[in-house]
Amino acid sequence: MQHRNEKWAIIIFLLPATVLYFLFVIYPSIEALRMSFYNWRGLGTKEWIGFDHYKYMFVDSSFINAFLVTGKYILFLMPIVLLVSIIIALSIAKLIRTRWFNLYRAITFFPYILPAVAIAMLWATIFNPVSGMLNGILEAVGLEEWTREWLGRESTAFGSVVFVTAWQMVGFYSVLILSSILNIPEELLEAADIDGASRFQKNIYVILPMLKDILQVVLIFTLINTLKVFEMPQLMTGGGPNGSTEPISLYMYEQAFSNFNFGYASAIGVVFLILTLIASVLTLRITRGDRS
Amino acid sequence: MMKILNQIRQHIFLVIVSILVIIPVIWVFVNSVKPSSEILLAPLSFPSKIDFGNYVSAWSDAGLGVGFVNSLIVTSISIILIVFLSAMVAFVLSKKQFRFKKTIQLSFLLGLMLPTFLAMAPLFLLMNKLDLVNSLVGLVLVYVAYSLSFTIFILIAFFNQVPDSLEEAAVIDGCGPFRVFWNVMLPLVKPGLISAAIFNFVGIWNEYILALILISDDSMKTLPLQLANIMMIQQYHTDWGALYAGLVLSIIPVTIFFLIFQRRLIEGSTAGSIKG
Repeated sequence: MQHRNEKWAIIIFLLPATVLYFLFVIYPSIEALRMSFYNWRGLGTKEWIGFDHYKYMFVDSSFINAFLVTGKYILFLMPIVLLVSIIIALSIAKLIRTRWFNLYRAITFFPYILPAVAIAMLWATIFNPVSGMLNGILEAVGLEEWTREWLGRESTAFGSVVFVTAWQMVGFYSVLILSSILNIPEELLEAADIDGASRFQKNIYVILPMLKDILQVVLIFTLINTLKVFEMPQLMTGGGPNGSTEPISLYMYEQAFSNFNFGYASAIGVVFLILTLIASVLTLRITRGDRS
Repeated sequence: MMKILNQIRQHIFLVIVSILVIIPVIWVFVNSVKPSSEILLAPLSFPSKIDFGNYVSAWSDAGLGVGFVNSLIVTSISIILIVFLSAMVAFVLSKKQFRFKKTIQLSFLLGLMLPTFLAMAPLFLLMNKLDLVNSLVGLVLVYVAYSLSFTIFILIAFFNQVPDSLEEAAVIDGCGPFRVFWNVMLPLVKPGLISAAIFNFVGIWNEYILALILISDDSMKTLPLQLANIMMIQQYHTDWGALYAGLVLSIIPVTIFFLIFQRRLIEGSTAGSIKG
């Protein structure tokens, strides 16, 4: 009697969450795999076309462009985010046990909790060529020739979007690195002091090697999050000028919801999944590695 | 003298970082209380008079009031459901033995890896079929579904810390599984529930992409959607004042939250990754 009661309780506890999860997360994900083999625009008949969508990607210049742009985001954001976060974390760590510590930590972390939409629009207004703060400041200090249409020119749009994305991401990773710096045993640092290591030497030879694992985690988190970059290019540049800031995520969204090419969009989603899985496997490898 | 120089050296980089973070936010605040005419003519100067007119037009004309209320409703209902449903699953996965336990655990783990972008098109078509497009109920259900994996794994860690003996004692005292869960377990994992609620608040208040594909009706739009909407309209007739006021409206709730729960947010968001 007791036993049967328990069994029903378990089912009741699991049921609501599991139903929602399988209906809205698992089913659409599997459906995406299936839909990627069909030509379908949401209405009318579905036409089985096998791997045609995947083949088309190799000749679709817009997809190739989006793929390369995503790669370019990763290429720029990984080193920038890593380097800036390390420097911030090291600088804040030095101030531990001062009243500045919490203040700087809070300020650095702050952008991470803001809505991405708000960040994108906030910076879009700053980059605005007419009423924006950036051109305003450049004019005020006599650098008129530096003023430009930051988001409207191919030469500056990509850099601007990268900057804003980094602005959003860096706080989280700085705090992450900071907390692992604080976990380094004090004796190690004291030993370095006794050996007469300078601050710089201490950073390079004592602290950085201790951070190897967390820095790998930071790189991979940045990789996964950069794959998902969407709001910044969508709202700041619309992917333009000339597709120079358009990542896969935005291209996929347009295929699905502007062109109603659901089959092709799903195929791009599958490519997206594969990229994410590669990044996740890397994460698992590393986290497994440091446990053994 | 050396000491001061040393101090300056220590702070200079962080001061630059802080300025880069704070100035843009202040710029938005200042512009939000500027009369519209001054925003274009004197973008860098302080307002000649404090004018809350932008907020009035943002709230009513630009639809940000509707967005704010929708966001508040969707976020609060979603959080309650997410925390409650996740706690039920986490409790069972942490404390009970049963068939298919591994399967269920793994399928929720899978959710941490599946990118939202993969499911985007089929999800929209499914919601359309269920008549849940342009509906706050639909949006809540989707938010709950997509937050479960993450929340369940936060909470399992908390349930694991509760000693089994407590549950056994309660059972001996005659508590059924539901009383054990409600009266014994939930109070013990309260810090976990609060952390989960805080993280989900930030995530859902800020959420944009799912709302973008599921809501197109103006009266159902959440705040991020309404904001993005002004940006699009902006290209034709410019109401910069409303835009800045709208930005402030979207920033303020999360900022207040951040000021209150700073420690928990900062330390909580890093703890998991350090252990991993």
